[in-house]
Amino acid sequence: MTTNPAAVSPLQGIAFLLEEEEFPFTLLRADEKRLVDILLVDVGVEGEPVPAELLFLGDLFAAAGEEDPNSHPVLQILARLNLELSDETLSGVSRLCGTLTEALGYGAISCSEETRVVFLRIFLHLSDRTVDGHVLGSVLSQAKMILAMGVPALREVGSGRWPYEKAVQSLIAKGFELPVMESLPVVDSSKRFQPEYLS
Amino acid sequence: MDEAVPTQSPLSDLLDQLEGLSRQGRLIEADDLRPFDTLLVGFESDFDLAAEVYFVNDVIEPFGDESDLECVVAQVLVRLPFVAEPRDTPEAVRFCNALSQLLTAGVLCCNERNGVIYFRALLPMPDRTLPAGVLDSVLNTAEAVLEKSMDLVRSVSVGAETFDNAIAILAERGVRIPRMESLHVPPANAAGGDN
Repeated sequence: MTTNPAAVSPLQGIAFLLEEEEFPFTLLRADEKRLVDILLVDVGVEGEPVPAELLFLGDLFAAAGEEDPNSHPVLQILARLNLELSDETLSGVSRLCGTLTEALGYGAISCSEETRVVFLRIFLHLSDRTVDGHVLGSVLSQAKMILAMGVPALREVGSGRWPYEKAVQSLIAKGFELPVMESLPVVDSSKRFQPEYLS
Repeated sequence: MDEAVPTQSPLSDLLDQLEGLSRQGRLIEADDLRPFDTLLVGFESDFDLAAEVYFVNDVIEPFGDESDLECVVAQVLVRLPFVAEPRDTPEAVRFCNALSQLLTAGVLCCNERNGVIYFRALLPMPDRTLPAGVLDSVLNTAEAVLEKSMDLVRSVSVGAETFDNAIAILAERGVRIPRMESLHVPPANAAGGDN
């Protein structure tokens, strides 16, 4: 199923899809303090709620008077994690974010070193402001799974109790597979459109 | 009896649309060594880089397991032409993490195991079509960030720059990593304590 933009607002349509995919949600309407509509979806696990904020970037640009909301049909999914970090643990947390991001596929788990906030963010580039329900369900389920696995390890590294290496060992013990990416062969730049570029 | 009408693959369709986007491209068809079609797409600026565009399902399908995929997923992958030195990989991972925060599509990663540095965007495409406009938007985003930072990524990945220096140089170039504010209230405030 996909949303029908003619019948409901884009985020309302997505809310219907989340209901079908059995994700708890709350739709917050734009008001004096909130520039745009935001859909809150819980991607937490084991009794710890993690609210993910869903909004269209085009709505933000439109609110700033920049462009038509339909010209930028990108859905942002943002979940800020409740973790405590110190100056000493920032580097390890950032590394672990990188490892988790490689496994995540869609989007990234990032660490804002300036504010010490760890967050998961996914941008879904859509053809228009509609999304397939199964796609959204799959993306949110994947986010939920990686957070369930990654947040306890991030918490240990953030607190300084574990170094990065121990966190990775703990993830592997839970069945996490360390991602690998093959390098490209070194070829002359003139070959970048030749099959050798990939061989 | 009607003859079956041969249809172009979605990547061939995409290749046809690249001309309108002023991008070079070439379709590399599947062979024994690489059992899935790949579209190579050039960057607009003068990078010696090409994005590899293919459907993840085509990669998995020969191994007979698509169960993890709910729909057709296109991958846009740009592998940078250098790798991080083992001793410098942690700093390169950290720098890529910071740069990813500038991207509104995909991520920049440095693999901890072998130091390979790459941009990747996964795009769910339920009807197995990748609109050229979406691809263009993703590549523009990657290009904008790499244009300002690829030399620094290279320097950090071989230990010629520290993470902090690289961030400072980016700032001199007018690129600041956006702040992400916390939503979480410290326990004292949450309990109604002093601010």
